[in-house]
Amino acid sequence: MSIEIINITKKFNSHLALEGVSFTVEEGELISLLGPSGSGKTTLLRILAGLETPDSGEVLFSKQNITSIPVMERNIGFVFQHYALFRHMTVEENIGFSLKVKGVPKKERAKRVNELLELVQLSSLSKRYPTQLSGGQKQRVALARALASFPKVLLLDEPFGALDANVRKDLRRWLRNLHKEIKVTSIMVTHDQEEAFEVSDRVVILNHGKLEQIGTPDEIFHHPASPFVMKFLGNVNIFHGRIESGQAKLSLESSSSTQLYIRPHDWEISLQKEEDFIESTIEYINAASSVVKIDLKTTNHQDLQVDIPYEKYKDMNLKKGMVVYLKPKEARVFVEDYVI
Amino acid sequence: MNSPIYYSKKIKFFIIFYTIVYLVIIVIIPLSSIFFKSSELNLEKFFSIAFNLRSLYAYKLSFLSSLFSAFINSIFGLITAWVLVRYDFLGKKFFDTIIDFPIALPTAVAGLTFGNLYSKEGEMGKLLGFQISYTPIAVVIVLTFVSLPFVVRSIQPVLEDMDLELEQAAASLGANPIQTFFYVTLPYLFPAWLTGFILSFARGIGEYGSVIFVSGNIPYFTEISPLLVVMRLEQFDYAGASAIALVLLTFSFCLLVLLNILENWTKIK
Amino acid sequence: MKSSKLVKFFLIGIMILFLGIFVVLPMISLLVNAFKEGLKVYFNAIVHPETLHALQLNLIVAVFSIPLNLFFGVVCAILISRFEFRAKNILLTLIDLPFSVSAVISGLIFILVFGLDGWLGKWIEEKGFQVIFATPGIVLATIFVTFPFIVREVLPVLEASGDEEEQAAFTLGANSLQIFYYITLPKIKWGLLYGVILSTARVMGEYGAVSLVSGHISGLTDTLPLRIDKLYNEYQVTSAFAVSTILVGFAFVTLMLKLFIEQLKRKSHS
Repeated sequence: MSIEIINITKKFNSHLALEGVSFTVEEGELISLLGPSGSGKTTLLRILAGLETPDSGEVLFSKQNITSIPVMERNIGFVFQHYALFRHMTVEENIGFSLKVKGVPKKERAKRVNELLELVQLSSLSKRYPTQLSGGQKQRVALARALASFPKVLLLDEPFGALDANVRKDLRRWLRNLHKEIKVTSIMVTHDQEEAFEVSDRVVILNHGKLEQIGTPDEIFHHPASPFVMKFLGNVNIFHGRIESGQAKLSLESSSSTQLYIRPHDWEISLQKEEDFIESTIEYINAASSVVKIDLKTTNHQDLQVDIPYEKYKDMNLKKGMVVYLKPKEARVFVEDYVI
Repeated sequence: MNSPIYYSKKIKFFIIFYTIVYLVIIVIIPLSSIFFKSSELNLEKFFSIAFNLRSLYAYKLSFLSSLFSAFINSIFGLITAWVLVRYDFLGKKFFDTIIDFPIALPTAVAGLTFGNLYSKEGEMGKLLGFQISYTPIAVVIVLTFVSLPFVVRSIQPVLEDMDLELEQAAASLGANPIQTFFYVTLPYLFPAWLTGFILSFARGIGEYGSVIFVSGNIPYFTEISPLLVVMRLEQFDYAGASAIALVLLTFSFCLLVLLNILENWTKIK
Repeated sequence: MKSSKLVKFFLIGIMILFLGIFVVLPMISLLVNAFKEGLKVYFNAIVHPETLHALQLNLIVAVFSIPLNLFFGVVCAILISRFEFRAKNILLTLIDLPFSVSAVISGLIFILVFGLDGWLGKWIEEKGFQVIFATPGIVLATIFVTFPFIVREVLPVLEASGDEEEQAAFTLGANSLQIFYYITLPKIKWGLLYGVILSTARVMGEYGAVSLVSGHISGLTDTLPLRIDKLYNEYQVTSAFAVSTILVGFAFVTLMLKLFIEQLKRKSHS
């Protein structure tokens, strides 16, 4: 089922949570809503579920306007960050709940529940209670429960947020495979960029209630649409300078008008002073990885971060306190649109 | 025994010693006196006092009236807790506060007031057309007042702490409000509800001050068990009084143990 | 959604009806009855020497029993929350005992121990004291009935907050008493205050246990609830109601204080 989000705005008291957000989700896609805390992503998800109502705008499920339809009639599956499993029911009973309230007879229910238990690989724990499960197991039960009555849309609210790092990684992979099998249109909220990139077909970036960019992980990372997106998706150094015949020329004075955005791995490093290279002193080296991270300070006291491959670091024999020269290999400039 | 390292040995010893001594003097020794005193009676005498017809009627009255009042409080207490936690309306704070009134008010005053209110001349007596005072109904009514706060105050904090996501999850799975209430909310509240019921019940069984003003204390009809103890005392029949007290004490103790088991059961879940 | 508004209206209505009949109505009735025979009778009942003496007795009992229970309550709560031992369940049951035991039994047990025919009866008589049918007896019975209050208010606070702060203070060089005074005491102050208020209300209002233990000697061992009882038995019903208003006023103050403390607590937390 495709989803169209049209101009959604939502205000909480005086706080504007969402402002004119619009985009489309294709059938069977898994997209992530990515952004910092307070960006409005969870609010948007809950509006899609029917747990909140927008102040203005519409939501269409397969071209049908469902904005005023209550949550229990939307046929969605919602997975909560803290699972929201029913503690007094067994795993089986939790998973079968949506079928029970719809009046599905016991036999059919049991069949479907067993299907799902196999899908999430928890068949042996069917009679356990939620308190007897680990975090990862609980989340899988929550997922199975949400999928029980064949929802048209699956909504996940920071599903792995409450789990340990390695459990999270495993479940991410597992979710991606599950989605390949089931192909239900899914929308996931996360603040973890790595997670969004690993799992989704496309990523929506939100900031302060506004949609910053939407695209595949590749598109977004290599072609960020705004300074915010670039900064959010990884380390970036900001310098003043200008573009001259296709080349980025840095200047250390802040009088220059243009801002250049440069990734740590887009620097050329040299031990000799050359033209257009700027002089910096190495303050700190973190060599405990295949990519060496170096913190430097320029001659006008600006902080700089550079990533270079381990071999290069060994070859150049870089040490703390050394003076080196740097030039950007690639830089991005964001030009504001002029309205005529 | 594990004890905190930040208390000196002297202090630790004091804490343990003081607690034990205090409890022994104030609780253990006095309570044990009942056992010893009633053991002065031989078995036959004991049974003839503790379980004669009059006593049995008294137990029955205490038991049934407490049960009824606990039931009434369970139903209306649940509704009250629900209304106070989930809804907002003018005067909510007022109603929330007056719920504690029965605990703050002395039982004798409660008894006096209800006895008067439901007597023939009282407002309720006139309104309903017949006398309620001096009947078991009056006992039930005054016991409802006295143990009113227990169910409400047991359920309230649990309901307040309840994660709304549970009900939202049920809704997202297709349950309508009634289904959500019966399948999710009520089971969640059940332990607290039961605790409130038992507390209310226990309070009712032991209640004395308020009841004797409204019941008329008619033997075999509106005589409550604690009154039998008092009567024996006034006749200086200490052993007899202890016998009946022992029966009541045993019952209270069983309820307490039940409560304890309930608490542990909820902790495990 | 209209049906949910109807449900809400209905439920609120039931609650108001229930509380109205069981709480509001009796209170109004009490006030009306107290002033039935006019202000003069009302005041006479209040300032009657026996009433004043009863009030004084209540206060004396409070002054003795509350501090003792306060001290015990804190010590016991610390024992339960900070120490590990197997008999904890038994201890907790013991503490809840006065709540579930009938007031009459609470009085009986002290007569059995301290009364003239009781275990310590002869010994006390020899020493020239009187416990039962005198103030000390009332104090003892009151202590029994009210000691759980403070423990039950302080214990949850201690259990919820853990003892990391106490351990930190210890590493910084504080001794046991300093740790208690600077770290533990501030944590429990609201629970303590609330426990004291509840105990005081109970001290003033306890009837069953005290009526047994005091012997009901007018002007000597009558507390306010017993005085009310006496007036009622002497068919001075209106005066009984009048004196009751003192206790109602007291209950009212108790509730207001509770509200006040909750406000203060909320403010200090945010």
